[in-house]
Amino acid sequence: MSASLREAVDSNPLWYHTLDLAPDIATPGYFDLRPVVDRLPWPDVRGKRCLDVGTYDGFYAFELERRGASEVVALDIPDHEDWDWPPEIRALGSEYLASIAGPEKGVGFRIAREALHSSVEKVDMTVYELGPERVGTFDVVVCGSLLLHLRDPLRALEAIRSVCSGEFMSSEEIDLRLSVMHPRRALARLAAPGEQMQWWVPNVAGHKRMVFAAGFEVLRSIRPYPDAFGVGHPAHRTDLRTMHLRAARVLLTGGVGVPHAALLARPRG
Amino acid sequence: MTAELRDTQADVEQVPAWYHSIELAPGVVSPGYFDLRPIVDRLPWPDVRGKRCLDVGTYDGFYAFELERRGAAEVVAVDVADPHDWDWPPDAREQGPAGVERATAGRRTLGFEVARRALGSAVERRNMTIYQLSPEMVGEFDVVVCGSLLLHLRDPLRGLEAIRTVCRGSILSIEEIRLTLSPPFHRQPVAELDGSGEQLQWWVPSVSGHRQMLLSSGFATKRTAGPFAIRLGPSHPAASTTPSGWRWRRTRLLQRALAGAVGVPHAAVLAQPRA
Repeated sequence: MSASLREAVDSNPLWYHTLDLAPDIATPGYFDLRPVVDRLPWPDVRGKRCLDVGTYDGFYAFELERRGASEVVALDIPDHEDWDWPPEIRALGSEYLASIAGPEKGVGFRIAREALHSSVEKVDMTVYELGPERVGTFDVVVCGSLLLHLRDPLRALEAIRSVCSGEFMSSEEIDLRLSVMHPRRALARLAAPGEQMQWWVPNVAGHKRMVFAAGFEVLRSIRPYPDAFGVGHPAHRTDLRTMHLRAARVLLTGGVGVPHAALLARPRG
Repeated sequence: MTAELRDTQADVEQVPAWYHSIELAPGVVSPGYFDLRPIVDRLPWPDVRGKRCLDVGTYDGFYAFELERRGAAEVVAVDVADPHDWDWPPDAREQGPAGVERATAGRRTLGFEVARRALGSAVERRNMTIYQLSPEMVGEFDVVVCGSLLLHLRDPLRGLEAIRTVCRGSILSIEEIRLTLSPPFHRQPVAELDGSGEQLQWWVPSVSGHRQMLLSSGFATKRTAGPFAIRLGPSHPAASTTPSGWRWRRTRLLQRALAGAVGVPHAAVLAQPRA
């Protein structure tokens, strides 16, 4: 059993999440959310209908299930053609997009779902397409590290709002420097168009404002924390040239990784 | 005053709310929200003589008529007549359009029509959102002008991408910017988010944020101008009140020092589609 699972894990060329699939088997992900998962502002999910938006390998979806959700739907984009590519990169053609989009998505999720005997239901849909008529409404919605990859994060949050009848937990990458320099102003850095697929990276106040603007009120938030690099991430290795950045991040977020902020919100009005 | 001037003056007074201050005849100026006349010659205009030009978000048509005055062969002006079709934040989706309808007595395009007639202009006005722009709908243009529009869009980058599909020459983009996020205070491409209420404001960028928006949408900057202040016209509610207090004094001081006058700080970029 363990040997065949290990084989399955090894067969997936790219793991995004570090998942404990068996006592001695963790996936070699890009990111390792295990150290911070218990610090997130989770609502009570027991017996609730839950949605994970942008699930990738399913870390949050399986966590919702582990915490006692009665039903979990995991949403992800079926085709990299539907990603918010900058116009110039899109113009390079389908083959090029496929080459930078990497191997087929959803393989890791399928392996993990089977290994964990999970009953999470995967739905292929972009966040923009979310609507009550398509997926119903949810008591709890979780969305992690997705908005920065969207050209229109506010439209995405409004779509989430349209299917959220209870609570919404949002965890997003933030710009630390902007957060320190402007603790109260809602700002976002507009990233250079490139293959990183990043558009808007907010500061802490900007993240809260985005969620508010989409029709939520913020109930609580936690201080910035690091989304740790997993063993699969190139930055997992120490690079002396960026040691000062790393030191600043450790100082401000308490660890090495991509700075994130997380909040719990509920629909306004 | 001649009879013709008196007629123009009467037409001007019929418009419930002017957005632009436009000189429609000698001595007859529409009482707008904003007066672009003092800054219009400071903009980094491309040569528009004989060109096919587009003004996006024209409202009363200031830039469209300016393009015509500068010798454009053909000018198309697009705008969204029905305020319900604007990008209102969710919490203003009901009151917002109702407020505009009230202020304009439901005749939001009247100002453009009066101005067009008074100026004897041949500008063609089309009812369309920026997002709907495509070569199939409007053809291609040598010069596109878009002024003070992006801040009212939830997805300004989609708007600029749509402009890029119809722009074969250059774009003149004039947008509100945040002085306190621009040099000398800040050099990063950033934007401040509002996204709430009837002001209909989403992202207001820094000077470099404005350029980055154009870059992200596939344009390359050729020339820039500003920051400069766009003055409030006589019908702007804030024009008749003089706020006091140290915050306002500081704001006015900053505007005078960095933008040359008191008003709404703007920056302008002339850009071209990147090959």
